[in-house]
Amino acid sequence: MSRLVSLYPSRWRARYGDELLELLAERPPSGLDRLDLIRGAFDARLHPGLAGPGEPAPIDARSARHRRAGIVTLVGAGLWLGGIVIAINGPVVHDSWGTYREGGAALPFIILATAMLAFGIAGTAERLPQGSRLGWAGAWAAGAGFVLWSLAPWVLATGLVGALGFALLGASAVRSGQWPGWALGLSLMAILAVPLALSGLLPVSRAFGIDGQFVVFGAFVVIWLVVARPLLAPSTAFQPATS
Amino acid sequence: MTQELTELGRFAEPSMYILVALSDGPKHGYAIMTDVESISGAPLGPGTLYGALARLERRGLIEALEPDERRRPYRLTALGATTLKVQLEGLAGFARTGLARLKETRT
Repeated sequence: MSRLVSLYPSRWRARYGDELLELLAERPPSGLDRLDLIRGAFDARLHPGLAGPGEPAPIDARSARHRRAGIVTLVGAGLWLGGIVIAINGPVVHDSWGTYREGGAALPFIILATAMLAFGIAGTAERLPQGSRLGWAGAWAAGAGFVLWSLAPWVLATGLVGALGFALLGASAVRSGQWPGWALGLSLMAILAVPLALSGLLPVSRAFGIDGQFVVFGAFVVIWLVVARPLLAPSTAFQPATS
Repeated sequence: MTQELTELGRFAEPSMYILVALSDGPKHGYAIMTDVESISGAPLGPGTLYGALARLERRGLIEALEPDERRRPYRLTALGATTLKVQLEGLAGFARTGLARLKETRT
């Protein structure tokens, strides 16, 4: 139980942690309650101003949190590339689908990398101007869509939701001055290249002895870099989104 | 001045139930949870409960009292009571209109 409560931000735990633990001691949580707590912890991290009657978290604290999100996103970029390298070196399989590299061993890296990207996406959304509903909707769609896509890459609809959400978030980030226009353009190109390469509409040839589709997937790491870059830069004025 | 609970998004409905639960006196988290469940007939998750409590407290609709060991009771503020009254009157009007129309249709 205390592990679930520890998912909440420290200021939130300082205010509500004891009474929540007491409640959980009185009524042990069911499976649904545990999911509800995880969702609540995510909500509390998205709305740090809820934690108490005081002022919103100081700029320094927010900046530190965003820097952490940027670092996590960068680590995610490394994991993504690591996953691609593992997939490139996977065992060659010959079956009814043809001859290809079996990349199942890369999946944990890909999933973890995408989950880490979600942290960066949340940090980016938090830095949007207050009331940026479209940007927040885009962040939710991008985070959930990409993570679900990494869990089940054959469900293309989740990837599409993630891509559209990312475009929406990126447009809001450009509008608020958080991202330069080229960053959005570059990331949209990286996103578009994936379905085009998979469908054969984008002719990709081997480069450096590597299958072209893996090159396209490797280039997808641009997304992590675009998200991480402004989070790692010193924060100037921005309005936090409260509840 | 009252506040629109609909601004609270997915926490709007739980918040309304919590305000009703507190309308007959202060309660702590577990008591609110069980009361809400008896009123609504549906379970209320602990994450949702505290998400809603934090929002209500932030908006000045409820206030926390001195904790009794680790239990902290909450009570309605005057603004919370007014807001709840307005919301319930709105719902009562809605129910009256619906029932009257149903009655007209059947006769």
